[in-house]
Amino acid sequence: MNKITLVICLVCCIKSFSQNNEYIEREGDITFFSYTSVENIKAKNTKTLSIFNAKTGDIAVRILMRAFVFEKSLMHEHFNESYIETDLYPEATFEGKIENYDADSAIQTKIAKGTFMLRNIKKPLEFKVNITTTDDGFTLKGALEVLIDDYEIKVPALLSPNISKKIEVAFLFKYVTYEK
Amino acid sequence: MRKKIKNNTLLIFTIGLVLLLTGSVFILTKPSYKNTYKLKTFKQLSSQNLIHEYEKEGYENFIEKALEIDGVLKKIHYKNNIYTLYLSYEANESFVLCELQHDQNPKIPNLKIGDTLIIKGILKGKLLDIVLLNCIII
Repeated sequence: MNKITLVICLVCCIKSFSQNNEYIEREGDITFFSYTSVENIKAKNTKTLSIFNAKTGDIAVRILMRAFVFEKSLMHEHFNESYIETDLYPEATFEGKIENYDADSAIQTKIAKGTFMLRNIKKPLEFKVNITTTDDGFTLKGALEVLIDDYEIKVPALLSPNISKKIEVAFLFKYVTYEK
Repeated sequence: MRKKIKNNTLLIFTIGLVLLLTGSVFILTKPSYKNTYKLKTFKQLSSQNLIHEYEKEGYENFIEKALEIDGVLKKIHYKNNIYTLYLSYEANESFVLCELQHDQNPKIPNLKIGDTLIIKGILKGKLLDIVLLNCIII
């Protein structure tokens, strides 16, 4: 009887420990900017899903491409129908790890390395990330650049001067404990 | 006579050019904001049924459609002057996330966790949660 109780306690402890290391952001912010001399384009997605393991530094991100909000409807239309083809590729993902992550440090700047998938094309990606421990979890903030040619995004010649080849991406994720 | 024809041609050409430019400016500058009040409801569903219908009928049938969803309010999240309501759809870890239009903000003080609400919004897809934007409280 005591052995059974011990095993149950051990399983509960392991489960509890693993759960406490995982943090979730259901409404992460991702903003992208395209700056050209002809036109500046900005779009924001405030419903990005991300899970962060505060023990290992592992990070996973899922972005619903249709949830980007643009200033003008024509930009939104071109983004969904021509550039990203959101009917075919509704999500972008990132899976990676924060290198040399220090679980005991309250504020740190590290490099995140992983694989970014857009339009079903996977490319290695690395970027600087600021990690701050908060009262109820963690905040991850950073910026990176994405090259449209890497993901075979085809821009018609007529619109080519309007779209930058290099898209600037900024993110802000505020994680809280993930209670499954 | 020839001068009159020439003048008429010039007038038609000018009107055409003005119309073309006006149309182009309208299309290029049209804001992406959609007023959900004016959109026709595609389907009325309970939040419990939404996920089952979504998976059964295929996601492309629901995407970018205006849906009316009823469900129990579990959480109100405020960020960047935008409110998002969390409706539960099953006794599990997922929610229906409804990001409200700005004009809905005055209704927030009247909401209580546990209330049953009917929300109309545009379905954008599903990650862990189902996401609706431009939502209004009915």
